[in-house]
Amino acid sequence: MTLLFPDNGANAARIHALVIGIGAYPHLLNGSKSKTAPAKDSFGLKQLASPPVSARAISDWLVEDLNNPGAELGSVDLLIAEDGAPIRYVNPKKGINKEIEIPDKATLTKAIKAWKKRTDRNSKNVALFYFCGHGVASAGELALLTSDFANPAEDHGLANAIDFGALLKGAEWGEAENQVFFIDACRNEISQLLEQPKLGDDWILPWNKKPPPGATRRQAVYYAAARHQRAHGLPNMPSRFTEALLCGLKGAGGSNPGKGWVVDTITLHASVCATLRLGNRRQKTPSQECQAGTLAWIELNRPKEPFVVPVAIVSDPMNRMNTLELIVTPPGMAALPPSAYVPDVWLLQLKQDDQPHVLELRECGSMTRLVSQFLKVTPTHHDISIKVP
Amino acid sequence: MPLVFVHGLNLRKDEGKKDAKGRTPYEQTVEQRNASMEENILKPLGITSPIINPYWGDCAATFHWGGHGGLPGTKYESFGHEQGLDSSLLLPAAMIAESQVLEDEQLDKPVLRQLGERSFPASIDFLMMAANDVISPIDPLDPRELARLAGALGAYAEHHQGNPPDWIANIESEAQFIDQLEISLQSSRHEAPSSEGEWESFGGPLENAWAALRESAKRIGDAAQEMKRSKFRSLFRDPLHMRFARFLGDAFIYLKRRDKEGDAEPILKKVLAALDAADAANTQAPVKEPLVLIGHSMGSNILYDCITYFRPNLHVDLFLTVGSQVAVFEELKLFAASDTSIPNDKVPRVPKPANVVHWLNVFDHSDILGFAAEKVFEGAKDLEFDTGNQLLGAHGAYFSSVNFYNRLSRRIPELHVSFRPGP
Repeated sequence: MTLLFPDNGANAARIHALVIGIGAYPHLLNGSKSKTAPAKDSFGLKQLASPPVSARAISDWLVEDLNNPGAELGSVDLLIAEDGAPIRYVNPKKGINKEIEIPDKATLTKAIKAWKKRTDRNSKNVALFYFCGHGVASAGELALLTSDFANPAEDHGLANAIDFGALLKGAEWGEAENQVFFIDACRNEISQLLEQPKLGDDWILPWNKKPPPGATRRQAVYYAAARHQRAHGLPNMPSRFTEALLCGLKGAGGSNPGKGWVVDTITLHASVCATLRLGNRRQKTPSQECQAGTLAWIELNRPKEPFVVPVAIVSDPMNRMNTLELIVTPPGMAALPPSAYVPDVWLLQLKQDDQPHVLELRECGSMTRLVSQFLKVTPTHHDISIKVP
Repeated sequence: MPLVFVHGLNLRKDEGKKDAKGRTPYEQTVEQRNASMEENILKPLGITSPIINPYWGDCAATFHWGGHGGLPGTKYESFGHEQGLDSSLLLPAAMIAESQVLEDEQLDKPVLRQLGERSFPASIDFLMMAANDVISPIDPLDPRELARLAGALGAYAEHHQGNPPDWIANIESEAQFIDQLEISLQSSRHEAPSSEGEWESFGGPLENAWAALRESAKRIGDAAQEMKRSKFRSLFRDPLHMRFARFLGDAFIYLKRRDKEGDAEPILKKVLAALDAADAANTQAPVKEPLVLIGHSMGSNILYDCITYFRPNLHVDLFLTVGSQVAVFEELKLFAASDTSIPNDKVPRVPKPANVVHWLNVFDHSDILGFAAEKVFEGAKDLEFDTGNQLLGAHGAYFSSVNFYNRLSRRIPELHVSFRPGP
């Protein structure tokens, strides 16, 4: 185990994070061992280049930006599987440069147990679990595949996975009252795997059928994809879900009940869903809808202002859009260059501000304003239609 | 309306299990075949109009004892548990039985590997035929996606004609065959572009066509396992018997009714209506697209009757007969236009119908119901073709075969079929 962030604060209430990004699956298609020790069946699962980037982006946010006065950052354990070795996490801003471990089944099992031990120290701790990699659903249960999935040398290579339902139950038996799970993985069934009696280890964290002892555990569970659906990412970029998640955590998923902006699990979910839906409008982007499991209220972050909020703008009628130009003028600033036009919608990230932005539509190449309107940019998102005369 | 496809014997629209979209196997087959024909026949000809598929199975033979009256059945009790094959395994099981791979004392070798070592293109055809039967419960398969992948697989298979890829010797499971195929296609750039660009999916494969191939390979493996355990020949006797009965029934019924009712015969009425519609659409168009008629098996006999006797003035640019008995029917002088004086010293063969510009006749030597035409018809061009199947399997295999479409897509442009000016 290599903690990116020192496990300081001893027994005070802290956020303890376990962050996993698995892109390299050596036994699967095109994996480093796919010639010498290929899976008996890869089920069509390929190498991924987005999860390592996504996991690093989440770790960056945790060590650089997380601001939770009730539970400061306690520890971050990052595990990444990607091509090449050794695998390192480097963050010059925080002066971190550490070799990190590969989440094969054995290593990840140890890391999960160690994470639980850290979170058990104080009931006010927040246990944060993030996974990005291959996921497979079977009979409604989700298995998260570890990097050594389908190792042909093992009799039970298909068991190199985590039974996520069992992990949630095991976590309920832990001491931390606040538990947050971000699962950036597919939830679709693979027909060839449906007949497997069991996918994934269901006993990493012990649990039984009785109610867990002590106070109620608050769990907030986010899935990047709805049931039976897939999660997506572009290679070497944060995934769609992680991008939306970070946008929400940094402020777009916040509310301001009077004492400043707060991102909690409820508002965060609305923001992530909205950001993904806006992104679904982009051409050649696979559609994706996130879904929450249990969604208890837990405060996560007090974002630094100003943060950005996703904004989608269309003209009414829409068929005018390809001849129009959108000019945005933030409050107290010069106009921004014309926004990149994505067919059928302008997708922007504008800074949140109490003063309104000015949105202006012109004919392409003309200085004559056709129409303008004000927009006060606030969380969680804006979906605007501007009527063109 | 440029392409009319007339199906063959023994086809019933309402039989079989529906898929998630509610389509019957017949509807799925038509959709898949249309996609392949658009890609491999219409595109090379520059034709943009849709394909018309007259269905005549509902007018064909009816069995008054349900077709079982003449089947021998079994008079023996089974001592012990006797379990029939799961319906999803019937097609791969029948194909395995006909390929005889389980009789080569190589019971532990994957079926696709054994086939591939014999003939790599045949193993690809085998896989694609089983894939066409796959119903995906969650993501119904887009037939165009499968047709695109089939095209890429066909090119790769052709490259390995007579020289199977090296990786085949290390294959230990049907699934590994698909894995290696996928890796090879990617690296050799034969693969059709993915419909979703560069996006990664954090779970199952993005492309449903590959998922269908995987499911197909799994069924092949499951069927082989099942057959190793059972006396598999008995699994097929009754279904094959029934198929033969229907073959005979459909042909007899058509001939009997045609002689009595002429163009009011129900099957003829449907096919003639389709031809008239195609002709009418073309007549009004500013530029006439080539008219292509494709008949499979009995469908080719029906089409031959139509264009020689009932619609002798219909201009046909390409007449494609596949797995056809046209030559046998003519030898028996069963067609409405058959001339019993031919052959004679002056006319040793029946001339190609005057209204037909090109006639290609495709048959497989293994297809016991597919016959050559050149020896009987002057102007018909025979194309021999190996589906890799045997006996009855070959007869139904043409339109699921990657190599069939590959060869057609190369052959058709050589004919120089042209567009004609409209009215």
